[in-house]
Amino acid sequence: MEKNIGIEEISKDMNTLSIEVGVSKGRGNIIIIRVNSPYFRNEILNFLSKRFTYETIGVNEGEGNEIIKKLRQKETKKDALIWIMPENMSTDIENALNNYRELFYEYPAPSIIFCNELFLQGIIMKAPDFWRYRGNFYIFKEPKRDAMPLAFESLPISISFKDKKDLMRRKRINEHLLRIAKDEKQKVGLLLENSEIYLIFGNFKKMIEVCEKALESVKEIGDKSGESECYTSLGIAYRNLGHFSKAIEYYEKSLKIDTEMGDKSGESASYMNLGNAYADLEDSSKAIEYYEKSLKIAKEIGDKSGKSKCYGNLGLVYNYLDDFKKAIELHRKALKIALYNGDKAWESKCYGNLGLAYYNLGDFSKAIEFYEKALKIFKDIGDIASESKGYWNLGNAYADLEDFNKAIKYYKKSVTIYKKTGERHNLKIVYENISLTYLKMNNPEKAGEYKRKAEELAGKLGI
Amino acid sequence: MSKSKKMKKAKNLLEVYNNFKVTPLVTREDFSQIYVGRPVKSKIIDDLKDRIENLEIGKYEKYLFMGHRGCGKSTELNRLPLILDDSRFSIVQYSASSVLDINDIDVNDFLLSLALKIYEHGKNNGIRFPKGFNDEFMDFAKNVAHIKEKDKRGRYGVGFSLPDFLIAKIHTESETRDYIRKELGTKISDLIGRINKLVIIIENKLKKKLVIIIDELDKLTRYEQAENFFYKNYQLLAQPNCIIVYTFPISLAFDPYFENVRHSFREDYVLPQPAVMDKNLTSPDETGVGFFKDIVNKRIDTKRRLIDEGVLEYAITSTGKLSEFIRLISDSAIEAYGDGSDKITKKEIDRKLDDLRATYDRTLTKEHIKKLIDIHEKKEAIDETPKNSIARNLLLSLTAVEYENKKGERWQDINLILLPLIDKWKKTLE
Repeated sequence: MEKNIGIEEISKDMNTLSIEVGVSKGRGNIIIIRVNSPYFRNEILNFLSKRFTYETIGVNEGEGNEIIKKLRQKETKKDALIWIMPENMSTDIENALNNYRELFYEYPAPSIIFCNELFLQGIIMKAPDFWRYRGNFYIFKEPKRDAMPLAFESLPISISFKDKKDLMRRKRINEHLLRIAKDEKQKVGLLLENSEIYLIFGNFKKMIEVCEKALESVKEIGDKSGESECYTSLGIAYRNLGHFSKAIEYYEKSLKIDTEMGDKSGESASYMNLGNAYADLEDSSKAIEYYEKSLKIAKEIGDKSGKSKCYGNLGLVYNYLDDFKKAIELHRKALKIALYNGDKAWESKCYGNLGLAYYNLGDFSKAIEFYEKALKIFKDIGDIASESKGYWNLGNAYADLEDFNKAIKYYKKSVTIYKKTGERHNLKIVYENISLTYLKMNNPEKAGEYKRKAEELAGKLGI
Repeated sequence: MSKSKKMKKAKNLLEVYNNFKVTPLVTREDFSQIYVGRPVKSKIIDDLKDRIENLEIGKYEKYLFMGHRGCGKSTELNRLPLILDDSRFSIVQYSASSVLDINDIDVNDFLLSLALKIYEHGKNNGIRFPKGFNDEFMDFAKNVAHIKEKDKRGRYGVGFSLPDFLIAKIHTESETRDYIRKELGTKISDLIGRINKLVIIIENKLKKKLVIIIDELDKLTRYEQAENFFYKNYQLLAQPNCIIVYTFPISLAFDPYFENVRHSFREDYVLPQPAVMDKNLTSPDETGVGFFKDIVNKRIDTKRRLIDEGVLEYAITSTGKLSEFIRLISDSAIEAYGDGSDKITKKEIDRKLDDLRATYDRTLTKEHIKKLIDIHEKKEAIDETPKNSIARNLLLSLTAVEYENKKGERWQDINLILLPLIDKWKKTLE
């Protein structure tokens, strides 16, 4: 049997929590625990159940009076009261906590309140009397299971298309034109357009192949602007394959040319791409620095779409920095512009990113609602690279809600696409997520099978 | 109110955890063991005591008592009955939430419950009200609350007296509250007249003046609710002929309309947070820091050196809010104990400060941050228009705090815990 994942990562805090509950036995106390996923919460409860007896009370919105009634009973034979709060704070609960906080101390056992990030923020802002009255508070982060943000990558060419069929048709036409085209510059244009189609289809190796061909041509004809575009596309392809340093190398080459040529729009795009790569490398301050440089130029040249994308990508960094409210604010700004511009592809990503922020706040219902909105558009426009990420995120949300079968179903849909697109870096992470999920389902054989698959891929990727 | 046990000075970290609770002091024993007098200018309760004790005969003043969350308000208020001359004053002290549904409060049920509490106080002190008055008062109360229930022995509920039974009904039944509001709508002067008669009878029989202390009215956290209760009814609240101390939501005091209301009350007392740093944050305020240190010395056996040298002052000047400081020491004690340590070091204090800081920071929007920077720079928390409530909300959530130094100077600034975030905030706004 694989070892229990999660609890040991917070063993120090669990130890403090145990001492605190122990020392509060027989008297009232308020201990707040912020943990987003019901699964991880149950892990913590499981840990506590080996040391203490407790009564669990699930509180729904509109049940503030039930809290007061329970506390007024003032009788228990258990060591602790466990309160499981709803995803959102409601006025009745806010009132019960604020106005009857003394009851928690008059009860003959400590109250341990489990809530998500959103509810915790509700306590701090709306029930400050209760917050001030509390005992210790613990912020337990789930063991990191990678979720998939949907960053925007700025490509030199932007193609518009209705659906997958439209893209395939476009690719066939481009290939035909490539065979008959005599003008090198025209050929480069067609190759780069195809590279974007490969990006949308998630075929990054093919994308590199096409970009390298294009790069050779532009160097021959001395087309500096084309050279910059090729570097950008190469950077994007390598980034998607998980080669972040190589991606940065290409983005910097592109930036240098754009700056020399005074191409403001290209410069803004390069800064955004560099921001993406640094975000991947988890260097948030550098990522923010580049996104802001990009945003500044986008504002100067009146590039609304660029502005929107900067907001979206900045939102992802703030999401990574656990500033979810700020992330939501930025994603909503991005979405507003996407809707105004009728940019379906970006609109879908904004939905996905909003879903991710709400997921991190522990508002899983809202997260799933946004993920599904995004997924619908991904399917409509044939954006399979994002579609796979959409399944992945839905898998995460359902795994946290302990609907493991649904989680596996979505993860596997994601796997099918990643196998097709060859995105082995992402495939490895999804395998790990599946392994974790099987472990939660008490299926160590299957968990082991997927863990091995992930390890094999890691070996091949050299990570 | 919870009864507290005798507190011994902490000799180890677990005892530190147990001794540092944010619940207010209640009993005479609590006060004699761990109470620390507030720095000079903040001795509001002593001023209030002097004022009440020196009132002219026949004068019945009303006072508003307010303070920011966690500044020690309830403890101070609990001290008043203990220091008033009990040969001259009889105290009726209760919390609004014990007699009313604080989420659904109205001046009609409030005044009826006040009458019942005064009546109950008289009875508890052995007063026999004149029969005619007693019957009339009971009938009045029964009628306005539409009480018909009575058991065979003439008792209400399961052996409750009428006042107890009525208070329970006001507290728990919205139907009863609706009925009272409808009935008293036209008879409120009648009720106030009866309250005044009750006071006269009790004061004459006891030969003492009645002082009513009502705690937790400041808990009306929803602004509209607080505004409705106090601003629409302040004249009624000032009418009963007895000395009353009303706790008052401090957020209302930051509303321009407060100027119209305050004159109906003899005094509005604001219990400030003793400053632990000077106004410019350049050096610690020795008086304020000393106040916090005394609180620690009353709860911890200092010979045991349970807090690392220098760390205590660091913890005090990093929080500067009484309740937060108490929590910080308690949380750090349990953390240090968990680490196998026998004393609190800077490591635990820093970790807890970081946690708390991050938790506050996550709740702030760009608008909040802008306002906090403004408050920090101007040392003043004022909203631009009455409709705008950002500054009020920040004071409510304790991200902004009002301080007072020993000279009695008052100013507002951000919560000291948030100071290290200023540069980051400024960058964000750029």
